[in-house]
Amino acid sequence: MSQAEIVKSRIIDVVPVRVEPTVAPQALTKFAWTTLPVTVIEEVQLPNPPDRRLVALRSPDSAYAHSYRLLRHRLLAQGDPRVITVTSAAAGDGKTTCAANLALVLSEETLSRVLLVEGNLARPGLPDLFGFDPADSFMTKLLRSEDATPPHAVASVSRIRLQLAAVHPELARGKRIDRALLAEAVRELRSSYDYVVFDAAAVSDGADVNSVCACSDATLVVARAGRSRKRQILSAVEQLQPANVAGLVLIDT
Amino acid sequence: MTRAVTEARQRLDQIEAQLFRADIEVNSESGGHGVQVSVIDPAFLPQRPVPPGTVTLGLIFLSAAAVLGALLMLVRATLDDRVFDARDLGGALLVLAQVPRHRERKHYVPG
Repeated sequence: MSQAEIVKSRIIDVVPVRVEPTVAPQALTKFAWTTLPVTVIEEVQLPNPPDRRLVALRSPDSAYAHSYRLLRHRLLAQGDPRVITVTSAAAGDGKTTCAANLALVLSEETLSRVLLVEGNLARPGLPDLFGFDPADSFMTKLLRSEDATPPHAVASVSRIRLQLAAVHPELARGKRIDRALLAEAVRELRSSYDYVVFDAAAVSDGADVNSVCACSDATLVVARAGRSRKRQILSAVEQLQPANVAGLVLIDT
Repeated sequence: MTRAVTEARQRLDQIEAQLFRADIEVNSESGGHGVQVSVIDPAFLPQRPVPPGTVTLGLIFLSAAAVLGALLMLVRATLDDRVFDARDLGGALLVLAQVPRHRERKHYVPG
């Protein structure tokens, strides 16, 4: 068999697959700045008023919001990490609040593309914080151990330049993050976003946070003043090694 | 009549005292010890309460409680490793930002 015949036989063997578009046309046009490999599967309508923890939205001129802008400035001074993980030593220290507000102030920069990703499978907090029932984002695909090939499904938030990859709490129950799949997805997302912020689980909640930190450029440890203990924080930082722990964010001072 | 009663009581006391001494002597002789026992200083009831008084005792207890409380606070403060500000970490970790406690106006005004 000649080489041309071999090539022809291989072409005939290819089964044509029709790829169904998962993106609403209006979403594509509205978020034209979002380059592939990302698709917007839904638009989150923020409740009015937004959750009281979203202070960067509710009170953008408050000292609280300025503190997050200072955090953004300090991160830029630390080499401008593009993939940032927010975690804490124990649950309830304010990770989700910190991650969401950091993502919001990062998205304030002109033409800045920011993705906030749910990395806390023990207690997914993004659906409650943004007040929506999440559809299957790319994180849900990862939890089902499906492939991490693009396009990655995300949700956009109305009126602000922020996108979300949330996970439904019922789907997250008992699941683990596949480190290899996540690393592959993050590698793809770097080309689509300026910043990817992970709202990760607490260090005390298991090893998922280590998988997320391994894909990140910097890790922020959140502590709540008057509640978090120094011994716990230092122990958590030790457990996060060899991740790059950029520093601590102390809230409620 | 009253005088008669008083005199009779005094006589009864004397007789009881004599009887008490006689009993002691009989007991000591029957025991073969040959010891002469006598009451040198009889017991008596005090006329007033013995110091320290209630106020002094109260002050002593209050002072002791204050010292113990201060010691307990010192021990707890030494063992308490909760983080309140960046200084509590002693430079062990870089503090990137301190976010103040958020107090919002009662009624939200959309911005």
